[in-house]
Amino acid sequence: MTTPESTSLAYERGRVTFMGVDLHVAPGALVPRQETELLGVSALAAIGACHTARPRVVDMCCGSGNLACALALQAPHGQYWASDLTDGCVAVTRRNVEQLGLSARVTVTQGDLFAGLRGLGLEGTIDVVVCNPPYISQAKLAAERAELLEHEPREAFDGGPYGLTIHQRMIREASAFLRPGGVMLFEVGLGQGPQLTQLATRARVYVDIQPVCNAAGEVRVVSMRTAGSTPDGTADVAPNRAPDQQQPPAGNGIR
Amino acid sequence: MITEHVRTFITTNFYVSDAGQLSDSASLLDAGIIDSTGVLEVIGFIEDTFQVTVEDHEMLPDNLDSIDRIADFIARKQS
Repeated sequence: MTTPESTSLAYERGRVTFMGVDLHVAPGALVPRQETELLGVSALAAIGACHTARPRVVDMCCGSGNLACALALQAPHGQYWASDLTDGCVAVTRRNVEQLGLSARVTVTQGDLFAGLRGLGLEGTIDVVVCNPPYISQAKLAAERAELLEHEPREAFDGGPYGLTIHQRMIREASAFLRPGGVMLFEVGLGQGPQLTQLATRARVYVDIQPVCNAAGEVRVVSMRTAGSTPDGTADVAPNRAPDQQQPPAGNGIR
Repeated sequence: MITEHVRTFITTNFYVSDAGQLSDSASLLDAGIIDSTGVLEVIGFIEDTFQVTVEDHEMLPDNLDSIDRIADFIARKQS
């Protein structure tokens, strides 16, 4: 588990290893967590399943650029865009991209979610969107998770009043950029998996909404695909809304 | 009527240590009763029980953060 002490130590060292990649870290950008490697590995599989010669991949809310850089190194046939809202994250990501010699494959942009990608002609062309958004509720950041803010920026954690604000916006806004059959993968907090499944179902543009569990059996990634062609080339259709589908038991146990 | 229906749903589907002490105006977020793992259940309850559609942009504490606010929101949706 990442503690304030380990975060502070990572900033002192200025380096961290993520998916085997040595990365620069600095205050202003979240220190990449080992738990996020599940999202990276899942994204790598999605990229590998693409049938295009040069898959287009977006790392949204890129933080230090850890996902974009690790994916670009391990799936070098792809073309990548890494985007974040804050100056600190964009600066750290640019430094990592340059130091790892990835400037030809990874474009770093800045903006409020997909605003950073507008004007680049990417609408309807993205094969994979990977996103580790802020997902801690404001109530938790003010109480039992307040330690997260000791060293790292609020923007890295603050997911709005219910912790789902950025997920909601991503689900709404990403469909304009994903190609038909494109895949989006999110990291989620403990206990948020069923909520993400319901949000994606309610959007009525995603199919194959799948939870991905870590070694402990906890859902920490949710993937979904826009309706269109499947990996094997067959067509499918957008789902009808099913608000009573997959209703999990209510609870309030997110950590 | 709506308020009582909402209260029953909240107190029977979420952990409320003392339902008698939960006022209709109390913040459900501040009380730790509803968070990201519960808000979609509230939306499902509203839609299924009262035959209204809740849009994602309406998923706000202004509409959902107390029994009174939920009841008022439902009444507005039905009007």
